[in-house]
Amino acid sequence: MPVESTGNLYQLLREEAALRRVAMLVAREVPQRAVFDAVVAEASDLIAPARVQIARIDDGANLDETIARMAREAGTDCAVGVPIVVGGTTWGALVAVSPEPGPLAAGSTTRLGDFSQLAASAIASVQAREELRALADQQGALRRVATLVAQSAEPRAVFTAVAVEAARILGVGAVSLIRYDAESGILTKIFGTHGKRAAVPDGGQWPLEDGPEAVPVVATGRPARIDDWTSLPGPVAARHVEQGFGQAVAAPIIVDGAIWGLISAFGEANEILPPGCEMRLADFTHLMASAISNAQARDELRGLAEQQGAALRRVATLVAQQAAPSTIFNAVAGEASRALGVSRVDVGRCHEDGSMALLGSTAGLGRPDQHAFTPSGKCVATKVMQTGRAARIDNWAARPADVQAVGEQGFGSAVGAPIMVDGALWGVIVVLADETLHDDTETRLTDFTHLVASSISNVHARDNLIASRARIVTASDETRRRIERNLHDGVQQRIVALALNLRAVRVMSPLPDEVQAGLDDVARDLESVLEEIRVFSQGLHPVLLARSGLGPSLRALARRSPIPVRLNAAGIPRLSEPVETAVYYVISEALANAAKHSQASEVSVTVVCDTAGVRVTTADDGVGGAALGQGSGLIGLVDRVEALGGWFTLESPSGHGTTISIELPLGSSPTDERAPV
Amino acid sequence: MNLSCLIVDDSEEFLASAARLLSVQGVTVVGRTSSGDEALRLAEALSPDVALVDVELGDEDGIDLARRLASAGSSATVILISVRDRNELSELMAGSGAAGFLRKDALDAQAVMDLILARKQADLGPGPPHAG
Repeated sequence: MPVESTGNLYQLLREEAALRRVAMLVAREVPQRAVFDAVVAEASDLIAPARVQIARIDDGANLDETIARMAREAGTDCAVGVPIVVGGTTWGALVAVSPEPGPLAAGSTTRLGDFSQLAASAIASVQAREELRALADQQGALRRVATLVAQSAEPRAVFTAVAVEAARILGVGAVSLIRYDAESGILTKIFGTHGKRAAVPDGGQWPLEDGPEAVPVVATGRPARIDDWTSLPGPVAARHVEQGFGQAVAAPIIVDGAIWGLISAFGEANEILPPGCEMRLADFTHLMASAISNAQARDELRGLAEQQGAALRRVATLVAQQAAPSTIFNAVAGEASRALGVSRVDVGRCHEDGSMALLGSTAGLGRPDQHAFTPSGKCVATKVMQTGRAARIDNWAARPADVQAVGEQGFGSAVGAPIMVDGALWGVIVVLADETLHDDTETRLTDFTHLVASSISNVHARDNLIASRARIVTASDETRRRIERNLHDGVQQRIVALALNLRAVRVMSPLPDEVQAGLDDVARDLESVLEEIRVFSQGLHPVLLARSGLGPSLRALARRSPIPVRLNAAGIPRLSEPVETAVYYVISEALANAAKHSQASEVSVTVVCDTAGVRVTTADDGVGGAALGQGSGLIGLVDRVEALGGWFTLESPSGHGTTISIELPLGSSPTDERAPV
Repeated sequence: MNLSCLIVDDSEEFLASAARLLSVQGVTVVGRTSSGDEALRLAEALSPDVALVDVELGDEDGIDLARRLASAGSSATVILISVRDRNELSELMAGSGAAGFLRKDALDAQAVMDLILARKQADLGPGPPHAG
């Protein structure tokens, strides 16, 4: 074989080995920095003396400009770059810069392309993990504050918790609780987290027009953001800038239908507060409002208020425990009816097209055709939808159109209060009675609407969390499948072709002994590389699973297991891809752990599938003592199973073997069975 | 020996190197294709002695093609090939009717010959006892 072909062959082997090393880092989900360092090191090594760098491309820049700039910075006029594409947009580029004049080696662009795909996989994986962490944090924070409200903690204690959590979730250190008196137009600083740096000390007062973030909040009753304080009038704004603060978001605390005050959060001068900050702050102000009205109810009208306070606390407890929405809707209806002394309370969802759905009621939901508002309730709910505020209808005679709709079954008096979620009208609580309802019904209903709003926010956050986890698991599987596919179609085919060409050459020409011996070495090297890639590839992704389903794949796992396996998995139908993948990996990991640690004589694997779901149990008779974490690989399974809305249990008492059980629902969406939100 | 051989694989590179190797080892490669339908057509038109079929033919299924070749009455002995190990694929290949399996990097005219002979002997049955 000519010398240059041998050179090419070794170059190809080196390249594929380098790609494989980086692919393993990506598949093990090491930090992005480590993947980048590896890509730069391996790629630079391959195309030396040219060097490789990773460049981030911001909006507005383009690939060619970036490459030209990097060439200039390196003092050369020869550079080649390929884009790193993440989620369909160009995130950055892999740029190779040559110190010598003349073009880069042939094939450099293709090689860079392979590395850029691996870099893109690493970035996508990190982005997904960060999104998940942020959602989980927010979820936890809301739950902690709701618990304080449920325990009837003093407003100050609740505010301290809100300030701490807001600081964590929004990433701001400075949070203020501000009271607003509508009659006098004066703002009072109740408490702030930033001590001497505050623009106004605790207890200080200033008029509304001097409070830039308060003005829009009071005017609209909605959260607001102020980005640039430098040209705003008044002493408060001036001190804000002096003390080195920057962007601010604020959300109103609405108690008894009026703006009681606001919570403001401030970033540092050069900090950017991400979009959506004001909405997340509003989640906390809902709970703050409940705490304040709990306290006010306690202070003002002891008897009646205590009853209401207790009712609110019971619902707040359900919210804090993250009870299912249907439980909360019915609880709210029941508690409100008792607290207000009325017989009929309905909680409903309002859609943008004007339609309404009944979600909870003192009348019970009964048959599906009874899932509708009463005609009177519908009238007042429509009024609430139109105005966005609480509404009341007592004088039906003045509304002939409504009377016609309501007919003789109408109630004499109806009051509705809006449930606001994320600043928009989400639903309504409607109270109905034959006698005219008391004047304070609207304001007292508002407390209950806060709690429903908090519960809905929780559910949204929780659904986002589950969907995010599922997305991460899927994305990770996608990456592994893609790497496996690339290895199979690319590397492995090429090396096989090389091996066959080598064999052909040896048949065709009589060769001197030293050359023959050299080729024998090459042939052995090729074989061993192929074997390594085969073993690595098999661990990445089960190719049999997608083609033939669980039956054949589990039989293959059982056959390859060093510890004998008793497999009971007859008659499992094809299931959705995420479910089949989860079942496969649970059993594969359980068998791998048993082989490594258990010293068992047998592992039994049972898979049962019915309309409710699929249940998998693996049990070995080994030494037990397995735990999540500690390198057992089991923690990844928990993520996978819970991301699909399933549950996972591990029993591994020392000396008594290890049993893993999982159950997975079969619906493709884990939120299928929830109440409509 | 002058075996005639049809190669069915979705990798152009493999088709080229396999054809080259088998040719220099004395096998006549009468056709190469990546398409299952084309494979059936070539098998019927050219009646090769053996057909090497990749288990994973891109979007198509090599096992399925193996069965279709048999039910189309092709006289070709079908050998399944793959870059993967037999270990990974045995459950998949069961019931395909193929004469055997060769890992692609072990491709060799002699190995192909051995599998064909083994299948022919199996087809003929145990036979009468040999003298001596």
